[in-house]
Amino acid sequence: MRRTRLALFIASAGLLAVGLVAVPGCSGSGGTGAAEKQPAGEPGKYLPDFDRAWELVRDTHYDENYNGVDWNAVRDELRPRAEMARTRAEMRALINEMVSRLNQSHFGIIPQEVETPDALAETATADNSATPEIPTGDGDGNADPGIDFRVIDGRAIVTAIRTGSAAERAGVRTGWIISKVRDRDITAIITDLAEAVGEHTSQIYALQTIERMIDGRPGTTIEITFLDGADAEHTLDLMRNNPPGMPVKFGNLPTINTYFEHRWLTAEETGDPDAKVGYIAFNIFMIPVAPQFERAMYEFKDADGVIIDLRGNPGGVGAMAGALGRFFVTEKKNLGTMSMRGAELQFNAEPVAVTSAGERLPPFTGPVAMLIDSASASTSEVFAGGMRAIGRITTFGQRTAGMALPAAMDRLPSGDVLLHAIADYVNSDGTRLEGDGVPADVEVPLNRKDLLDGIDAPLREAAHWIVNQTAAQPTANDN
Amino acid sequence: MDRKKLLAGLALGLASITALAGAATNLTAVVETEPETKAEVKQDAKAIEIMDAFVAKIGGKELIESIESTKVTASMTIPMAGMNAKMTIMNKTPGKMMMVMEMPGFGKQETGYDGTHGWSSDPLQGPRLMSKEEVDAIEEQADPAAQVKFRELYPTIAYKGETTFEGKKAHHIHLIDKDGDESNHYYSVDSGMLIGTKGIQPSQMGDLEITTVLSDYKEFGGMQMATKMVQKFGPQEVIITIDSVEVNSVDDSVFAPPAAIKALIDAKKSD
Repeated sequence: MRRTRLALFIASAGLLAVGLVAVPGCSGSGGTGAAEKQPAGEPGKYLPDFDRAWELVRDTHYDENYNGVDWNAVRDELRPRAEMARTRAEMRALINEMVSRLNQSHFGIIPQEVETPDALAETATADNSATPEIPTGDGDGNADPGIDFRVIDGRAIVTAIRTGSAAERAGVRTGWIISKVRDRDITAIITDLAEAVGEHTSQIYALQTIERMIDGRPGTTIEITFLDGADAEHTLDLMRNNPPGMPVKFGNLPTINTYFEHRWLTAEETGDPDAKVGYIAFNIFMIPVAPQFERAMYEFKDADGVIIDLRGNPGGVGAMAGALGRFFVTEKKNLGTMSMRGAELQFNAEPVAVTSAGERLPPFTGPVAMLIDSASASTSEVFAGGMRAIGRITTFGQRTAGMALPAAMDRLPSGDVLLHAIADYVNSDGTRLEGDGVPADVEVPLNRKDLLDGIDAPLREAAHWIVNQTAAQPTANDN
Repeated sequence: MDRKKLLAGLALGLASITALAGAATNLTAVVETEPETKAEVKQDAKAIEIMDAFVAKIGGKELIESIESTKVTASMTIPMAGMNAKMTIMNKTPGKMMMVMEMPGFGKQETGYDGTHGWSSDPLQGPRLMSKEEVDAIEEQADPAAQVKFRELYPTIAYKGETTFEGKKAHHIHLIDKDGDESNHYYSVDSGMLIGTKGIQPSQMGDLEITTVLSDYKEFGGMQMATKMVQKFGPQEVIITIDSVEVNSVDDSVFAPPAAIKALIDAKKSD
């Protein structure tokens, strides 16, 4: 249930993607704390970024009507302000404002110092300042104190605690409410976002906003106020540490820690001591996940069923949807179509036959459950939506984010990267993911009581479903 | 099926991150199996003249036919993703191909054709045998001397007149092969060199309509080759730059499928 921490480039644009790469987007401020602190430079210094960003959208947006927006008028309105922008942060905010007019996911700026951390000092120099003082480390890294959370009934509630983290050492428990980060009232932020963009969409925006407040440079601390199960207040200074996983650099994306987990569920989790249910979770669709997924499926080839946990997974390399889907289809299946201006790509899953090591591995034919929630986005939605459309999986949890536009990541003249959608995506059954997301076949809303009791309700429901499926209809994998 | 066949055949969508399935060396087609039926031959004299002139300019029929194998090293860039790769592509008569690509953040991708099986292997898809359509396309790109064989390969060679290709005046030649698949060549009016192609490349993600822009011809072993190729697919571009070419140095052993592909072939046979 852990979420990937990419708060440094969280943006109002929502989930950003590349080609088929999706990452959490950045906020309306469009930059890191460091960039925001830089002094003013010459007006118009970053104007080429504005012009290039506008041209990229003009030339590559999949919809020549720009989602109903008059793109020329947007330029005419905002360019005078771009001519006056004196800092990189101002220009980033303006470009984010420009692309937000499209009202679609996968648009926004990845600041250069996020994509290439060594650029931080260069950024400061370029704006005629020394490296800025960052007393707290807030917003300048993706280290975290080890808590995951979701918005439940308008409150940010802890859903998981990383083993060995500062939060665990301090005694934080699942089900606790995050009431304040430093002096900011978290519930008020959630309420404001829900009023601004609607309850469902606000869920992922709230996560991104709060993560950006909590995350920061490793070794620094963040003050968080929690309400425990009895609503008693605990204000804790928690040390931030880097999240687990292998650092992966993919193209113009920042380095992302990628982790993968697979295990057999316990008898307590399945409710059946004889059940063999495999569990797979990973934080992002990056290439190193693929060979680990293959090893997991080789280990699970005789399982009663498999659960794939996509909760909190913001997406990644889109082609991985078909690559992972191949373990579950017995004939070539089309999962969906990516439509660009003048071109289409079919997302196909071709059945696996052998592993990369040459071992025989027939496709898994038993029941497959996917756990999804409002923070499952982009490639997670392509994978879950595509597999659901062909009737191969059952989804548990809550509807996904509905942020699934494949996008590219072009570098702007200043060195910043513009993520911009270049395609639409439609499942093989004709359903569109952007805006709608993937529904849960079995709705299992999170609730605070379960979390306080240490119960992962969606996982429990999925495990029980597999046990019941197996009891009702033995699969070919039993043979 | 009215599938145009790409001549340069370097099909790569940013999103697919699939193989650069063809060989960068082979800017014209083809080795084909015997057709089941004879297609009617319609070859315009003007078009033949232009294509013959091009063959003469790049080294001549005799030289090109003496080439049994090529080994090309190249660099690939996908600006829209900020991705770069190093590639090695080997071809050998009568139509074998092996490509190895190393891309940071993606890993090693191999694509091969040993004259019987077309295959690929990469961290995403694992070992995979190609479809018949993909193998057909690979076959067409795998012969180092294919450029001089256009009379045999294309029953229809039509001169479509002068046009503008990527801002340059060009002779447009429309080709239809023995299977009825179509492609288009563009030869510079000024230099006589092949400056681009348009066609469709079959792939695991469907048929991709690709425009290839060729430039920066340089001499390797007496033969002129385009060292820069820009492939355009929808809004995406892939830029390939040839760094070096070795002629007649490739051993047959490099085309042998790896163990996982052999296991896959065995598995398919037993299914």
